[in-house]
Amino acid sequence: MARMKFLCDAERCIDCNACSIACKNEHEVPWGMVRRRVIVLNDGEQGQEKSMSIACMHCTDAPCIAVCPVQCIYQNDYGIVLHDKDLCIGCGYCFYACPFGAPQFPRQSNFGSRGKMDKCTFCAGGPEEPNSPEEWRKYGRNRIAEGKLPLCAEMCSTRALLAGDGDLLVEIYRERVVRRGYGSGAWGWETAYYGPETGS
Amino acid sequence: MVRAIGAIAAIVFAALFVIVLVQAFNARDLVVPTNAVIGGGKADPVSETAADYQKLAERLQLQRWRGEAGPSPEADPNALRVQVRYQPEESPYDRVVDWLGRSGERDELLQPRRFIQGQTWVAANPVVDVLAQPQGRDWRAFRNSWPIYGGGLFIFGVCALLAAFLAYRGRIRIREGESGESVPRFGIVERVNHWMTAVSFILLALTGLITLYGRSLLRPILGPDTFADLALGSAWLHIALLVPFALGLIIMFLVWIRHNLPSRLDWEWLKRGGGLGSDHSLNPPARKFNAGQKLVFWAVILGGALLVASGLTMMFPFLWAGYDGMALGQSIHVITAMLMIGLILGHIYIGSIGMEGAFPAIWTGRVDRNWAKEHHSLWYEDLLQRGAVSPRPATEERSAAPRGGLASRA
Repeated sequence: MARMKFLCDAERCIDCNACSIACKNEHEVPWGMVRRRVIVLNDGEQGQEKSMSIACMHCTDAPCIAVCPVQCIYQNDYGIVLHDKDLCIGCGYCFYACPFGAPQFPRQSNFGSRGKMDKCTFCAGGPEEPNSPEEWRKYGRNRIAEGKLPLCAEMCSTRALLAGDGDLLVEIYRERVVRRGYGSGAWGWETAYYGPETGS
Repeated sequence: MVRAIGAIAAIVFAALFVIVLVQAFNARDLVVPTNAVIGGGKADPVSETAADYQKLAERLQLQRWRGEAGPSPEADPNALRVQVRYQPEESPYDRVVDWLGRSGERDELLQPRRFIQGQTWVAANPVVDVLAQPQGRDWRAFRNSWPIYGGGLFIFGVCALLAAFLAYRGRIRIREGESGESVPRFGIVERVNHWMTAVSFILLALTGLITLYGRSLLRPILGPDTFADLALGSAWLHIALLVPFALGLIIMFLVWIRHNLPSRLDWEWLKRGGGLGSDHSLNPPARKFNAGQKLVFWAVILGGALLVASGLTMMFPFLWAGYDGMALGQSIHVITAMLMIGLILGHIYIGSIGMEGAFPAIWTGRVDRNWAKEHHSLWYEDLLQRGAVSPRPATEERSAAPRGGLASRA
C-alpha cells in the first residue's frame, strides 16, 4: 500500500527556506506559526554544517494520535496524519509527544491557553469535503485530492525535499546516492516510520 | 445496613479492579489508519484507488534528478530496484505492523534515533529549533500504559479497600454517644479555606480524569463532538482552578502548619493504628490534629505543590523546561494526582460515612464534646484549661440528652 513520506536530502538543502514560505503562502498559515521550517545543524562549522527541512513526518504509529485526549488526530490509508480542528482542545499533548516539533498553537503562553493545534497536512486538508471553503479556512489547500503532491517538495529548487510514496522516494534517493557516491541518509526516518513499539 | 452497602460496594469495586487488570494485560497501544476521527467511517474522502495512487506516483517522478540521465556505470542496477506494494486488502493493523517492520530493508538509509537541535530563522520560537526529539515516543508509551491502567487499578483498589473496611468495621461510633453539646473546633477561615480547596480539588480531579480517561470511557458514549466540548470545558476549568487551589494550599499551610509539626505523640498514635481497629480499644491521645490528619496535611501540601509546579511547567512551554521537562512534568502530574485522589478518597471516607461526629467539625465548625474527648483528648483538655469550654459532669447530662441532639447546641 502506498505510504506517503517526506525525505530531506541534507546534502542538497541550501537553507533557502522557500519550502517554509511556499507552505505559509499556499495554506495561509497564521502569523507566528510555521508548518515547515529549515533547521541548520552545526551552524558555521566548516564542513559540518547541514540544513534540513522538517515538518510533520506523518509517523507510523503516530505518538500524537496515541496521546490526544479527544482523539481529534487520525491517519488515513496513505499514512498521512490529519486532524480535526473542531474537536481540538489545545491541551498540547501532541506537542509533547511529537518527535519533530510539528504541532504548533496560535497562542504560545496566554495563561496556558493555546487555541487549536495546527500542523502540516501533507497538503491533504482535513476531514471536510476536499477544497471546500470550510476546509480551506481551517487547513489550507488539499493538493492530494487534486492529484498533486505537497507544494514544498514540488517546488524545492534543489530537489532536496522529496514527498510522496515512501518506496519510490527511497528509490529516487538511493539512485542519487549511488550516482554521487555519498549521502547522510534519511534523517528522522528511524524515529518517524519504524517505531520501537512494533505491534506491542 | 451501612455495612451491607459497604460489602456490596467492595465487591463492585473489586470487580472493576479486575476488569482494569484484564484490560491492562490485553492492551494494544498501536495507532492504525482510520481515515476519520470517527473510526472506520470515511468522513475524509481521500482518494485511495489504484488509479489515484498511480497519479501521485507519476507526479513523484517530477521530483527526480534533472541532470544527466541514468545511474553511474559502476552502480549496481539492482540497488535501485524497489518493489512498490499496493495492498488495499490488508487490515489497518497488519498494514501498520508492515510499515513498522520494514526498517531492516533499508538500514543504510537510516540515521540513528537521537535528539537533534539546530537553528532556524523562520520563526522566533524555541519549539521549532528542535529537529527531532525521539523521546516523545517514550513519553507516549509511558503515558498510555502505566498512568492509565495504574490509575484505574489504584482508584478502584482504594475504593474497594475503603468499602471492605466499611463492611468490616461499620461506622466508627462515638463510644459514649453524642452528648448533645458541642465545642468549637474550626474557625470560619479554616472552614471556608478547606471547602475552597476541596471543591477546587474535586473539580480538578474530575476534569483531569476526563482528560485522561474520557477518550476511552466517555467519547464512545457522547460522540466525538459532544465529548470534545466537554473536554474543552474541562481543559479550561482545569487551568482556571489553579488559582483557588494554589491559594487554598497557601492559606492552609499558613493556618495549620503550627498544629501539624510532628511530635512524639504521633509515633504512639501510628503504632496503635489510631484506634481504627475496633470500638473497644481506646483512641491514642492526640492534640488538635492526630498523626493521620498530619499525614493528610503534609501529603496535600507537598503533593499539591508538586501538582501546581508540574502543571505550570506544562502551561508555559519552554519557560524553564524543554520537551523532556514537559514530558516529565506531565508524568509527575498524573502520578501525583492519582496518589492524591486515593488519599482524598480516604479522607472523604473517614470524614463522612466512616466516622460518626467527624463531619460537623469542618461544616458547622463545632464538634460534639464526647467526640472531641475521644478523638483529640489533649486538644479537648487544652480547651478546658484555656476556659474555652466549661467543664461539666458528662455522665448525668448524657443520659438526659437524646442522641443526635447536636441541633440543640445553639
